[in-house]
Amino acid sequence: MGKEKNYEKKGINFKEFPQKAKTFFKELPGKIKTFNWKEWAKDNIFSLVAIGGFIVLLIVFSFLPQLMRGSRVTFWRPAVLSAYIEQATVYLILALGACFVYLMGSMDISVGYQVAVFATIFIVIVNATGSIFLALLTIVLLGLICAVFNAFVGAYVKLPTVMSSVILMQLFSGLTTYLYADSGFSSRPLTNVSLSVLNQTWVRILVLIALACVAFYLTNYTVVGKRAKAVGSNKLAAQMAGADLLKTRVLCYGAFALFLCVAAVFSIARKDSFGEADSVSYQMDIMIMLLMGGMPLSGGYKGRVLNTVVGTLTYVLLNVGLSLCGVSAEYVFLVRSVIFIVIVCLTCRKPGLLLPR
Amino acid sequence: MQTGDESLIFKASHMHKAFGPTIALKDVDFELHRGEIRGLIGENGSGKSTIMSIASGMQPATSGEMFYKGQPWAPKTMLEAQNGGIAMILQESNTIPGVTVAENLYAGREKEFAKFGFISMRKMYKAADEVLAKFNITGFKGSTKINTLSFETRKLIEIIRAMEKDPDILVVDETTTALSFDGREILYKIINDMAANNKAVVFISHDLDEIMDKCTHVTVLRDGEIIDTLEKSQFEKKKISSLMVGRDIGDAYYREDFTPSSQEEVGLEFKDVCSGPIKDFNLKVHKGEIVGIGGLSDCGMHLIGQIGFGARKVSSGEVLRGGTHITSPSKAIKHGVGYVSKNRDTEALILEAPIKANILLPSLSLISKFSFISPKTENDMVNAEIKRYSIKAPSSKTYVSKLSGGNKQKVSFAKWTAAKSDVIIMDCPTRGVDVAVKQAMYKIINDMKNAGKAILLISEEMTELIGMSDRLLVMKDFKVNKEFMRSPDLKETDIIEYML
Repeated sequence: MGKEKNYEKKGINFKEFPQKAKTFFKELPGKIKTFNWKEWAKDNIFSLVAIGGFIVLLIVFSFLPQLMRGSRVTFWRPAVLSAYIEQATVYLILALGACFVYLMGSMDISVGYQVAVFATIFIVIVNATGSIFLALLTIVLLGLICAVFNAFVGAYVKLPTVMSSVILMQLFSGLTTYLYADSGFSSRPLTNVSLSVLNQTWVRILVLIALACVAFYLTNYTVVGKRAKAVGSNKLAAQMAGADLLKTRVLCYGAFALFLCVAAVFSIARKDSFGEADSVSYQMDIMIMLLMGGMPLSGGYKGRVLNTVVGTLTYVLLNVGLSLCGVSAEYVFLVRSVIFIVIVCLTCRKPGLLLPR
Repeated sequence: MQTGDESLIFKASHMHKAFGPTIALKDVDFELHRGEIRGLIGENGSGKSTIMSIASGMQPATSGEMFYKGQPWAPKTMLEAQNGGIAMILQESNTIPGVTVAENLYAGREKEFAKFGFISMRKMYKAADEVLAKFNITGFKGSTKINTLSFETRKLIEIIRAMEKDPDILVVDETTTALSFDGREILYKIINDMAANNKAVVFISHDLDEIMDKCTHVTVLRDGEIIDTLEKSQFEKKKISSLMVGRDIGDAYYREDFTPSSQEEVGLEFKDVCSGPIKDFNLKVHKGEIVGIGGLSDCGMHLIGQIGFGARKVSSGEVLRGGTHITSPSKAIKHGVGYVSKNRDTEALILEAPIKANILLPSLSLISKFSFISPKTENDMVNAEIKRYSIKAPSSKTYVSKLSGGNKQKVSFAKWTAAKSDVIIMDCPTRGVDVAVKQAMYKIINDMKNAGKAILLISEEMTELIGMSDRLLVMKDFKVNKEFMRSPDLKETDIIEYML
């Protein structure tokens, strides 16, 4: 009874629920009939095209490998699906983190090198101390320092955020070379502990679903998520409505740093080691994935976590599917480039589309 | 189009325009004759800007035909329409930032000053100086960087740019509110000259007095339909107002009392404030008081609004709100200060965002719990504001860029009522809104006063200041030149004397 009274104070009356549900379902067909689908489709055109593209590719790669290489090759084999999830994991974690930065209309092209440095430092610390916690804490702190640097350069030095990420890219590129030159090998293994528990497909799926939900919630139902979109749409108006530019950027880059650290750990988990060249192409890959998903690079309210998820899954599907068809790695790269060019050509004609103008 | 009527310069027939579910024009027939200064008037969203934006190539009609000088007319771009002879000056700012006045005037026509592919800036500046002199515009040159000029002066550059192509029809869309006193005089001269030279002008405005004073004919629109077209001899303020709104709006417009009143407690205080050209500015805005500030657009009154909101740094002195020095907009909002900017589309609103997001933005900290926001709380808040201001939109998710000027202004107002600001600085709050919305807004401002809010009302409309303020400061050259108390005897002429 006490609980009920509490809910009543908050304006929630459970007794009304059945009646409300009945009215809702009664009115639903009418609402569907009068809903302006055309306008809705127009407003969500990029998301719809992205989802449509993913479904088409899924259908194509369900049959094409069999037609090209024989009946045993199919996308739906458990081993292929498992490899697909494995490839998608690091990409999707990074893209979900990058979503916070891109919503503000900012960019980070140091992702690949940051992952390389974080993963290597993680391995070095774990090998030296045996403490995963200490290693994780170190890379998280390092990530947050980078976040503050990126935010500070953007908000106070007034440089475009891409410039701060160029500085970080140079710094981390040098650091990566140094860390691997010191070891004499192009790969560093984990010697004391194993992260193979993270390498199980169901663990990866659960982690991805959880992180996607966290990103969705943070971007849609928190002050920082709403302010990030406002900054991406109109920086001046956002500031005049109380958005603190530095704070918003620190928090968004901070969120990105946390996702980046998780991605670094999952990168190591694949082989319990990390190679110098494992992550160098990540920055461009992420940009292409976001574009494929219909995320506007100029930031703002049209950007969604859904775009990120669809873009990443499509991108990885393209990689896996083409490989299944027997297309060599160089040609896969070429096909991806052509798709990227087509998206750019289709979306750069008018301001307000995907590309910043 | 009948060829018999030689004076007929433009005709639209069965014109229909829909923006998704919103019908902006319903089967409209419109004729414009040479020598006419045609006023188009109607409530926000009545379709008055839409007709001429189609004629001037900004957007296509959904259906219908247009004829210009007897020939079918369907421009695809504004440039095509301008080259054909129909030029439109828009409500929104339309100059190119970061370049000179001359480069703005001759944008797209650089070839006229080029030799072997090299543009002679000297020639361009000279030509620009000549044009500026022709229109009696002084105070800057063709080589002046556009960013150093005020919003009002930039608007004037747009007018000159439109006139440079010697159009046969000039469309002036809500432009005068964005012009300085001198700028308006220049525009009125251009309009009169065009009519005298057997050309035509379409003058779109919310200002009924201005329309009645300057136009030869007026067409009233309501809900996308033409209600009536009146000749000058038929002009009558009350009649036009009721045609616009569809009902008699009554006589109550501004505040009906004439006794200045306020509470003891100070809401916002400017203490020896210095910022740029503003020196030692002092002002106390009390709770329950409306303090009006008037003057010419470059007298410094707009700067006072920005300073009060913390959007402009002070070199010395303080802006105090309950003992706290306001140094930034976020601090101002945190301490209950709101600001309706006159630069609606760039500062006050995020056009590429839903109505909901715009209204909520200043209130995020207010409604969040540990930084998280309940969708129910935000929906309740937004729906209440949409209802309070009768914002015309299919839903709260509609993007602000799709709204009419007046509805946009309602959203920028709603932001601060939602945030429950105790001090509201309003810089030209009724710019670009129609008579019925104005009436509703004045009522809201009065209700705010009665609820004990401190209001700083900055405006270029003297009647608005006289009608609403408890105390009226007239500024000139960045200083307060005169202070008036609320009185039934206060007239515009009393104020103008101290403005100029």
